[in-house]
Amino acid sequence: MNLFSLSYKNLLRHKTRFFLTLLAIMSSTAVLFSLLSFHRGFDRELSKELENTGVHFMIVPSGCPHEVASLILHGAVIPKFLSPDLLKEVNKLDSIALVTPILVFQMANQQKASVVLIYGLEFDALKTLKPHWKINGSLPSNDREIILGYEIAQHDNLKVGDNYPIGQALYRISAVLEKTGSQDDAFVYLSIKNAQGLLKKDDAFTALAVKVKDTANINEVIESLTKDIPGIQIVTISQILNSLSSVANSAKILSLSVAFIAIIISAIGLMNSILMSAFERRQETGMMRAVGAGRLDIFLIYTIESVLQTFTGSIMGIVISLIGSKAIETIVKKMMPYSPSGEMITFNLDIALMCLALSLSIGLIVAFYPAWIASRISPVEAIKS
Amino acid sequence: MIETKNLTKVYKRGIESVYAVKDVTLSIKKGEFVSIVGQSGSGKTTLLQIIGCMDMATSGILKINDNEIQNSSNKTMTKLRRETFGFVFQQFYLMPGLTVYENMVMPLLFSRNKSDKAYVDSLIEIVGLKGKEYNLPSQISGGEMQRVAIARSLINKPQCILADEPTGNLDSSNSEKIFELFSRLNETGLTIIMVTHNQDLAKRTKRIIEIKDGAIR
Repeated sequence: MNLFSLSYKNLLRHKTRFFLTLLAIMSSTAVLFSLLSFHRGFDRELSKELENTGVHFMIVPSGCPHEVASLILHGAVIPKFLSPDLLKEVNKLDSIALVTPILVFQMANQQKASVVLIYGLEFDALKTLKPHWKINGSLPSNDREIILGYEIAQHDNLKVGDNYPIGQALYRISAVLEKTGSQDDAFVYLSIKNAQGLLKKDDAFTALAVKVKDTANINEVIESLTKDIPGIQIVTISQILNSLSSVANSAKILSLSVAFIAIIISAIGLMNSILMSAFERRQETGMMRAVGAGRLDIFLIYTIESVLQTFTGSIMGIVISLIGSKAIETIVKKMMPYSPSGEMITFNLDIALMCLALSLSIGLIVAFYPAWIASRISPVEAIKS
Repeated sequence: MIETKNLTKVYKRGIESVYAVKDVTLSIKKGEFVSIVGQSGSGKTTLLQIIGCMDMATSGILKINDNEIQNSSNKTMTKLRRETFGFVFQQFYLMPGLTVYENMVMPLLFSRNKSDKAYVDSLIEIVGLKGKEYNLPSQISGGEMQRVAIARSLINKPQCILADEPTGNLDSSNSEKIFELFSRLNETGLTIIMVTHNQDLAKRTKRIIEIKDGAIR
């Protein structure tokens, strides 16, 4: 037997109290670990998602850069169009490796009594725009073929070779997109010509995705385009990343505040539990003092009890948050103004160690007062009946 | 082994001073079996607490093994309780979550002494708890609990056992067994100071100290 096993057995004497205290520590650690992991995953996935677009910058009508991000990542509907001449002008530049138009809009699907989201693009540029995509089937070879997003195919039980009605016409599904977990799953992809036809706006597009030949020249290219062409806005991928990160930061701070409040509440609960235990065990502590326990011994016993609880609770919290990562991700995503797709809550050793260190520190801090009170108990207490 | 001179303990109750122990002068030699008797509130337990370094006298001299103890540091008092004395209480004060064996060896945690298995086994034998080492206190009788407490008091091989009403919570049969155990331990040379209400048991010790209103009668 040592002080650890003695403290552990002391904790087990009040199983319900021990369990409830563990539950509080576990919950607060789970919240903290999940949020920190989520935030790390958020930045990682956002960066990855933007990098995966394969373009260096977007040219859009003047407006908010968040719309651009939404356009790239989620195919948001921007109710403005760029001048048809812009594509030709940008194409003239030697420094451009690729420029491809994108047209995104929504239209009513009368046959299905629903709204269909249309994403018009040049299929030749698909590998550059969506390099992470996996499709079942083949790329459309003519204007009557389309690619269907995963969710639409699932919802309508459609497969490659089936027909899908848009407007008055039927289109053959040449490929179905594999699940991406993002808004991409909800779109119908067709050639930009077809999309423009459906919108009845020839040469209309909502954005130009641009890839330069030499990334060292990006700033020069952007400067030149902004100077020469009025009414456009150029947003680089890093600007979008920064813009989205700053928007997400306030949500991150809010969610972390919630986690810290949870930690403070559980710390107070733990302190109360140890203090209660110290008062309940006055005679027992007095007896230990009478049989030779020094003040430091008593202080250590109560401190170890606190640290054992925070350590166990924290480990359980981390495990629980990993087990329930999907559910937690769904909840946290709802709190964020924008969330990239992909798995956000993963095991990060440094975050786990940080949560453990924080919990252990709290365990030590909150134990100090009850342990000090207990260590001052006089051995005479033991003989008082 | 233990000497006191004009040992006095005064408690303040408002403006009134209450003498729990008053001018007690006594000497207890190594190997004695002494009983301290007296009515409730006479101060016998307070005297035992002061002798056992659990409490400080207000005035007077306390010598243990010829060393003056009054005004000693908390650390010194703890060391004396740990190494020189073994305590047995009326309420046993066993820890409910620990087995009989763990309760017995618990003081070793604080003395940092290693558990001497042969000695622990001999203690189990002496107190008659063989076969019950792994029982919890809730699984043994009151008499057995007190025997565990006695074994606990002996684990650090003390020079003196201080027992405060050790038979107070036991029936006559178990009281007799506990007293016999103390007698046997005393025969091995151990000093025993026992506070008791039980006049019959007190008469069987080598010496009786009677306390009345805090003073020796």
